[in-house]
Amino acid sequence: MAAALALPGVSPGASAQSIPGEGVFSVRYLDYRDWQGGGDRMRVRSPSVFVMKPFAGRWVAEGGLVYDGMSGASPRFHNTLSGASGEGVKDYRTAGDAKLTRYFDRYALGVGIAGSTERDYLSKAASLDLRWWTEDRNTTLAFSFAGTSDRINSNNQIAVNEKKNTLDFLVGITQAISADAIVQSNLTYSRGHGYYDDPYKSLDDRPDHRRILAWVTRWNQAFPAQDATLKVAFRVLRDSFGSTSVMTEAQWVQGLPHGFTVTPGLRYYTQGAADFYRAPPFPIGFVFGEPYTADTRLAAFGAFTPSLAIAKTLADGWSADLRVDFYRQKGSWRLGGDGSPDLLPFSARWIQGGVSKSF
Amino acid sequence: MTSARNAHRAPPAGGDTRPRGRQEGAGVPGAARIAALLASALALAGCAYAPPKPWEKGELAKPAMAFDGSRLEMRYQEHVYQSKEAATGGYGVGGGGCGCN
Repeated sequence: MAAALALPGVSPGASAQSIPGEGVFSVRYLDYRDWQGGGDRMRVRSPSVFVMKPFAGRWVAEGGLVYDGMSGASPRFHNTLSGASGEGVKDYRTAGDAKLTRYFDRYALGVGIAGSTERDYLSKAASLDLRWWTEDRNTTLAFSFAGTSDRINSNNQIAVNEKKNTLDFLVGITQAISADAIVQSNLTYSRGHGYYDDPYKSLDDRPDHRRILAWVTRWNQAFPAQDATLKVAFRVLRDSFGSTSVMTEAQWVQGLPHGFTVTPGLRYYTQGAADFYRAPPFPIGFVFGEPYTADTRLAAFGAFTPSLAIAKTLADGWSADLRVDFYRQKGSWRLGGDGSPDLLPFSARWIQGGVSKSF
Repeated sequence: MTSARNAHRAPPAGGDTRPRGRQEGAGVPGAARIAALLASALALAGCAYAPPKPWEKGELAKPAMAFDGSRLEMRYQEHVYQSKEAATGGYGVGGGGCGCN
């Protein structure tokens, strides 16, 4: 049940109205680490591979694989990812997905499957998505549905054959606003039932159902004279656990000579606490029979992520890129209210690099 | 899990199942304001709405204009945040769960 990274998803890719002209093969590697209070915590190394290939005129097959190797310790005291907080953890995760899409003149229909396995967690998912576009291809509507079935068997035998089932729905629109601007807006609803506790924590007891409603809008604006693109994103998310979050992000993609691009970015995120989150000292606030968690991911805080990416287009369909993100989370950075008290600042950085080949 | 631990779990019919007595963080009061600002921005964009003709889509076809450029990069990003924050969503559906949150 590790803090494994990189989840092969079955995203609808709502902007694509026509069959890709060529396939792509990508390999990528991520190195992640985080720290808190001056001490190193988790370290994750994660290679991945992705292949997409059009065939027979109207079909596209794609698939990905990822392996996560994790070591270290989860954030101090009550933010646990796996194992007891502050203790050593070693785990791995292997995940994969596959998707097949059939393109028609005005719409595309895709079916996908995905799976993920850890020592104590098994997840299986299937999805169906439909994209329909207008004759001028300036507007695309997306409708997606997915079902996920998870099985949890914790190493400490607290969770034995526990289950969690989730249904996800997406409705989205992608609209070309002008010759230089395109906007996408998605509404997703997730409805889950089953085991949400963290079995590695004492007294962690969460509701057995969860509803998440999220609205995401993204806007890409080209500036041809500057050879640049501004990409902004905004998300509001409401969780039945009681938390509301807001995320906003901006990236500036600047073209440079010799096929280089450089992309600085900044993301800001803020969330309220879950209804049943109780701040330290543990276990104040615990009432037998009522939901309780001290997991700081369900606390109230804000976070900033500056990032920088550089990419280069090479000959013969090759390209390469490198990206670094630095994440800093603090209670006082919460927007519209106080953060949870006594929340230790948390930091992370991740570096990822990849190579792709069109064929 | 013992039955005592799960005693609160069956949602009462038609009732609000959320527990009482939370400490802080009743959502983000500024969210509605931000949403209103965004809606205003979209309305302004509507004023500049001029959908391109087929021969005007050169800029839109550039890789930098794609919403989901690198699948692997996007997945890494989403999953890092999924393991650090309360919830995620909005970009797609399915994909299988994990034990990270």
